[in-house]
Amino acid sequence: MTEKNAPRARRSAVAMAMAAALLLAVAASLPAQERSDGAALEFAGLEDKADEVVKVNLWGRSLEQAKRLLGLRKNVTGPVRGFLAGLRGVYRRTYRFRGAQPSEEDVRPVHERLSDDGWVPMIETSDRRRPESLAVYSYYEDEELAGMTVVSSEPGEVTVLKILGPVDLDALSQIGRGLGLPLMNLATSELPPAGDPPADE
Amino acid sequence: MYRPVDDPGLERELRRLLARARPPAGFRARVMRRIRDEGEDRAPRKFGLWWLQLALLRRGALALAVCACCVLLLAVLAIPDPSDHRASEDRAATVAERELAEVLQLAGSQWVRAQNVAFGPDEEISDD
Repeated sequence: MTEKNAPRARRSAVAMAMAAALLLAVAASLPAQERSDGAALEFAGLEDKADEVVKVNLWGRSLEQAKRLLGLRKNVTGPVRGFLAGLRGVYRRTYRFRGAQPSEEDVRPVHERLSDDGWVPMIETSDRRRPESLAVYSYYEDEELAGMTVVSSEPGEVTVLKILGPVDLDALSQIGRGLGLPLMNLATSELPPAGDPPADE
Repeated sequence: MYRPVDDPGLERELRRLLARARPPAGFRARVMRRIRDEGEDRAPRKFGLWWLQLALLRRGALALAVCACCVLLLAVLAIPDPSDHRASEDRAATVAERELAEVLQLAGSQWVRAQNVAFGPDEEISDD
């Protein structure tokens, strides 16, 4: 009788072990899904040197609330509303320098990190006469644009903006021209005039 | 064989000692009263012990009640007022909305700027 039941007991033990492993895997995956991608935007070199650091991490519940509120504004256009709906994460790092200015060496880790993480440079601009540069990176999932990161460096400031989710470039252009979103009393120094060409053009 | 004692005095004395005497009047009542009195003497000691036990029990119950009150108070203080929580959430949502708008406007303006640098002011990259 005992020998007869042995295979059944072994099978049930294996099934229980598999169920436990499955539960553990599910439990382990839940926090991972909820994890912020902000950790990938930590640049100790810039942060140590900066006089002021602005960090914005919007994901999960905070992003959903922000999207909901912004979507309720009356100036929001349809394409922008659709763009907002698809956002999965929005991050910002701004490093401001009053004294020593950031060098190319200080900004290079930002570009290296993005390249290592699979971000592809879409547009890169730099000015030989002035310490300014601007790079737009894109990220693709299944041949769909699934994210955009902008790295801008100018005297006194380095900014990294990361947008995760399907990016509607037309909607982003609209927003960049001051359309589609209500003005939120931004500091004027933070927004270069839309469509303003660089000095050398 | 019974032989009469010669000494009549001795015989009289023996008869007196061996005679079955009846207890004096009120003996039984006195004995019962004494038993009752002794019981009453012992009663306060019993009552004191019982009171002590009860007091100990009461002290434990009192401590338990105090602990329960403390826990209840802590719980009441620890649980935030729902209206405060809602107001705090509203404030956080407003800040998040502003931050989201800022980031999108910054990213949009930089995107437009990058396009202007790369392709000229009239050209645009579309995701269509």
